[in-house]
Amino acid sequence: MSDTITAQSFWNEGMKYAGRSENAQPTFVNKKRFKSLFGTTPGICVHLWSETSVMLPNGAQFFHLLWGLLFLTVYANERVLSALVGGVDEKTFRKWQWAVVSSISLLKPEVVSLLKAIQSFPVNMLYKTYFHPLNQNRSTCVTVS
Amino acid sequence: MKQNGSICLLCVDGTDCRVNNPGRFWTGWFSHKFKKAGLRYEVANCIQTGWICWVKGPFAAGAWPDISIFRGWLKKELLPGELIEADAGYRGDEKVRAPEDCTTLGDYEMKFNARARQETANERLKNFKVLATDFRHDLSKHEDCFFACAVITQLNLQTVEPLFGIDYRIYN
Repeated sequence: MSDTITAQSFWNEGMKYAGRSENAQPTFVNKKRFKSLFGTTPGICVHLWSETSVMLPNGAQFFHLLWGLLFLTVYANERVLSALVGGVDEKTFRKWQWAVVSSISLLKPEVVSLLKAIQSFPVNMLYKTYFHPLNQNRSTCVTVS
Repeated sequence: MKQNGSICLLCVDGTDCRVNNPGRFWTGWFSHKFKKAGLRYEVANCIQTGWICWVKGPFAAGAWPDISIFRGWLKKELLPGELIEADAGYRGDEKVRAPEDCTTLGDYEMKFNARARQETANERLKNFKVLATDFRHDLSKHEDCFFACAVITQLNLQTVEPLFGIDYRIYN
């Protein structure tokens, strides 16, 4: 399932949670809204989803990743958060928020690594292209090494 | 080449996160930053790129000073001859270059900028409200939350929001 999820999917769902129309344009203000709610961009959401979807329990959908990010960024109580994502049950929200948070934390050994300080590497500006919120190649994820 | 031969590759600092007071009273939870209970993490950034390269924790904020955390884990991971840039809380270890360990005004400014950018990285972590407000859940889950925020912040630093650039060239 993970290879069919695009940044556009995350963008549409995120804008819905933000109270905007699903086909909201990627304006500067809308991008700020997305970043304020989820702490990152739709492109990085795709990367996170491709890395964590295999670790999530059966039945995981891409928007559950947004639930976890919403929990980390907003940290309101679960009644508020479950209302924000469309009125799901608090217990359902709780189940997916912790599953997503723990699966993202498992990426730490490969993303936050001392090897990055020891190795010499150029800053790859292509990342900006790959992770642009509405890039046509948004489903293509580069391995962040 | 992002490493330019400087003797310090990393800049390290500790950051405290507020937690609800655990049930049993213990002065070891006391964070001098918040005057309340807190957990402490050690965060180290690559000086040349600003990327987060090391996160260690959690520790009880009052019982674990920065220098003890450094001596327990990160110090053992350093390369032979490598030193580390740090603030005054780490003063006293032979592997640490404290703020005053410099001879020229230029060196002082480079060290100041490295430490300033480290604080910016810590501030990026605190953009996640789960780390900036009292943690209401079980303390065992705080580690997962912090590491998840570190992963997301690091991906942001690598792609869309790099930290400001600094010039750091200190060879001895």
